[in-house]
Amino acid sequence: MTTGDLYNLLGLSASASPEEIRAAYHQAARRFHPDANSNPGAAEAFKLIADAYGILSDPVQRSTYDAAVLQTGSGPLLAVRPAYSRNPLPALPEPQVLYALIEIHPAILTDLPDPPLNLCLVIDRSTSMQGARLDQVKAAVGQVIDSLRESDTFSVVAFSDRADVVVPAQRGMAERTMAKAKVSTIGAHGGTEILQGILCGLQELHRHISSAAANHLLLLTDGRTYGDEADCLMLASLAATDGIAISGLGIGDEWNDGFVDELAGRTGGASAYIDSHQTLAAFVKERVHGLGSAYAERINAQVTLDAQMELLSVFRVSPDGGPIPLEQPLRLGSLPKRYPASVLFKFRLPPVSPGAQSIARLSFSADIVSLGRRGERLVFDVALPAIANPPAAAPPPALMEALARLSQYQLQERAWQQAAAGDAAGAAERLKVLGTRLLANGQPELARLALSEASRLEKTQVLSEEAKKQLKYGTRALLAAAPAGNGGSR
Amino acid sequence: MITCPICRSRELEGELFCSECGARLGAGPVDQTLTGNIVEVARAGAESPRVTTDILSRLRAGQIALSITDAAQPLILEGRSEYILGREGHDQVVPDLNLNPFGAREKGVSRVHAALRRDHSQVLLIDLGSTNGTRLNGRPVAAHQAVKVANGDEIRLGKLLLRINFGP
Repeated sequence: MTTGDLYNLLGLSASASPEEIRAAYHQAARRFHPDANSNPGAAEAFKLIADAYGILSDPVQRSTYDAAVLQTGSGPLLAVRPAYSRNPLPALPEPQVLYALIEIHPAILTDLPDPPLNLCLVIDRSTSMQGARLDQVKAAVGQVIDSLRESDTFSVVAFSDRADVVVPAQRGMAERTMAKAKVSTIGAHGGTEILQGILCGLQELHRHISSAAANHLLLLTDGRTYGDEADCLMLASLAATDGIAISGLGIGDEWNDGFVDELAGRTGGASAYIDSHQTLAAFVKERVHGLGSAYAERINAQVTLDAQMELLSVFRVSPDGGPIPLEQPLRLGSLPKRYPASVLFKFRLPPVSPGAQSIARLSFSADIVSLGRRGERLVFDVALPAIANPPAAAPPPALMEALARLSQYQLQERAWQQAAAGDAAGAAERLKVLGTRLLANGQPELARLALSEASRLEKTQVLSEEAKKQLKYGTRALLAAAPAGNGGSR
Repeated sequence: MITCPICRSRELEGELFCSECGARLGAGPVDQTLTGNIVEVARAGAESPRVTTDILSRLRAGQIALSITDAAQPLILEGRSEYILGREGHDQVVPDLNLNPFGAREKGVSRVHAALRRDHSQVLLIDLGSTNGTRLNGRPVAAHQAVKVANGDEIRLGKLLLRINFGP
């Protein structure tokens, strides 16, 4: 049974008294019992709690459990630090919004070994890649091959309307020169069918899939795929279940950013926009380095809401800012060694009365790849006291900073939605507002971009894909650049 | 529900940034004194014009003083990093500093005219795309571009003249 720490499930420490265990069980039962809470996951949460209580309330079973934990050693390997937009909550007769910035920290900060990589680069070789683009991609792949370590597994797939394995999955880089030579022979022709590339890439990754490695598919594309989006997304969800993450790098202005975002979001991967060929190699190298030096991979979060609570949105702030699709479990990606992974949750609360309020249970699981430990679990309860008329208090700076930047990102998202719906004037107005905000927040270049796109929209009624992507990924990059940390030590 | 002070859109309680215009919401009691009390101070002080220079020489860190020709006492802005200057209009757009008591409408001040922003020890002036423009010491300021302001500078919103002083 891999239920994780039984005390953690009941929100207790290992020194809890039998009375405390009983009280914690009754409280948890009130939250998640099927009679009280019909939210998805509540029944399972209750069953886990009941099982934990069954063991911990029996002195014989409890001491057997304690002894087993002592033998297998090690305390929690993940630590969670929350920051809330209101704490305490105001007791209100109307619904309210609560933001929770949840930071997941490595519990061990000493130098740990780097995890092995199981990496597949999936390269678009459609006709539009011909020339400088494909040359740059090949150069970038060459640099990745040079940076690989003996423990890494690596493969290359090239696709157009069909896919070929260029470098089959191989561990160790004895055939480095041969691999680079094979990559250099890739030529451009045909259309773009991303499904072919992903299918072929996943097959290569599956040959050496490991819960102790970062299993990652890196897609480099400059085009739109037609008709196979739904299949790609389904494949991405399956890949995530198998422990494979997909990241997408879009080159130029033609690729479908919404689709690549969703593809990456479903797996905990990241998506990025590369506007000039020059930055491509550096970008790919940094990405691969990040993957090969993570503390934990496959951080998933099962969100079990308390009765009448609603989860409105989830946004990853770092590493790699981006929206997280609300598909359970949430795929939060990887956790670096040196700084926390931080995720912003937005909840809608019903009218609350004074007293303790629990909002949701977040059940995290992760593979601690740097220690070779899989299936690490941690339960964290989003819970706050509510009081009538709490004194006005400034929200924590890290949370405010994240929200200020997220609000800019959302302004541009709304502008594109308006433009897509045919409201060019409304979109232009919103871009002007965004420009003013960006200017006020010390981002003159992005501000200029927003304002010039606004006047372009007013004149031509058509938006430029280039400006759209620059603003989207530009405002998103600001999120990850925000000073991290909920105040505590790092 | 709460109402955005800039664009009047309605948001749920606890929301911190307006989803329509990105403005900071519910910044606490400081904001109310901005649109309310400041103008009151200016009116109440109408009979003691001599206080003016005294206040200007004793501005605290973070304070900005705006002296307006018709007002006996300068308006003191404090507690924020950015202030939107303008006037209240029919569409209920409320700036941080409502200049209506100083003839803003007749003098061609836009509803959302310009912003003053504190950046460490600097003060920046940004025209927010106003109809009649903003001038700094007689020179027109390009819209949406931040320009640095010096102590004692003259700002003209449309035809409304303001002199700015600020603390360290």
